[in-house]
Amino acid sequence: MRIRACVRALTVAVALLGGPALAHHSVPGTFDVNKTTVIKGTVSKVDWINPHIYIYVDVKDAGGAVTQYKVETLPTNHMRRAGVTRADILEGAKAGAVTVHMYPALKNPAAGFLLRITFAAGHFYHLFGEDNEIARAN
Amino acid sequence: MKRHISGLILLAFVAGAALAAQTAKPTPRTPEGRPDLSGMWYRRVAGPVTQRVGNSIVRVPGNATVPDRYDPGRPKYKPEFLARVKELTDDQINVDPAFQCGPPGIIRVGPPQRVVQTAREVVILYDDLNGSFFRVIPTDGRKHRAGIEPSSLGDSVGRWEGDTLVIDVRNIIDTTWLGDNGLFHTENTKVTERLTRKGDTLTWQAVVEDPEVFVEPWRVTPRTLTLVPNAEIEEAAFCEDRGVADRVTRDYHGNVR
Repeated sequence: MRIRACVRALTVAVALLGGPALAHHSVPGTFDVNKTTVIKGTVSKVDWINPHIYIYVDVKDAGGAVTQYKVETLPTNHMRRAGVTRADILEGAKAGAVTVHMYPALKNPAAGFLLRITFAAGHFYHLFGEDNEIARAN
Repeated sequence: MKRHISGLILLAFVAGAALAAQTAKPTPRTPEGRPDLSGMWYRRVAGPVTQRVGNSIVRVPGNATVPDRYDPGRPKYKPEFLARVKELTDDQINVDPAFQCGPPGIIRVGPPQRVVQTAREVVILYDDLNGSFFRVIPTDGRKHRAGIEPSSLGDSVGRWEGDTLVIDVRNIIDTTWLGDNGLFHTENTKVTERLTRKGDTLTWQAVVEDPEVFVEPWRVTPRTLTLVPNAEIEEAAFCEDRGVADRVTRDYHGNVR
């Protein structure tokens, strides 16, 4: 029974995600996968393009200066199969600041690869990495 | 570690059981009696997956450790071409045409994604990172077309050998690569693909011949795909090359198509 449930869960999961994954980039080659950083800010733009989608997050520091972070995420067909649309992200971002867990980029201090985006209303999209990579964030 | 390995074994077992169950289903046939290859085909074996829970998307624990990559293998180049392969590999970030949103071409585009089959032809559609691509493959005895320009997916002609569709591909433009890591080829490359449906699975095999540069034909690692019911292919989003800085990395990218 347990195995049948596993098979069903796997089939559903497999149906959700498919097709090409990260073809142009190697995540470990570009981002520090041993670290998780967190930013909080407002979504100013979502570029729904291949080979990777970009979410731009404006982060204000204590002095009021704004830095725009470029947060890279999955390719569009990967995201589609996960059931996430551009409108979902923009709609979620309307409620207020988002919290982004990401691998920081190796070179660009204002860039990263999205692990999880949490919206002001409380729901989140955990799209990459494991739970412990979220938990280790500083 | 033990738990990790047990998890992998369990997942492999579960995936194998799921595949066996799908293979055991009856193979649908067309009115002409051919296996019907039509459908949307899932191209991955296992990998990181997500599930929707309420308004959120959560990770399915444990699966992210399963390799999410497919290794097609490599052709054996003649010794005099190994330096060129290495040079292209080392400079992939700058010279790989697919990194600049160019068409991946055959066979890099991978196995079929969406198949539409009629009595006279088989159409294969691809929603690729680099764009939407299609192939129209006659199966009614038509020959290769003459006088057309070479293209990334070439000119395909199909024939049935029993329950297997055999596709002969010619006229492939030599500016594409056959895969990551500098797999260049000539304009005389020939590809033979074989598609076999069993139940709700589709097995894709490919052999690449390029005697000018290969020691022997390259038998690409086969892939078995599973049918995805109630899903439809979509037009690919625009592929925008943002330059070398965003292409990054010289290491292995995974032949993930």
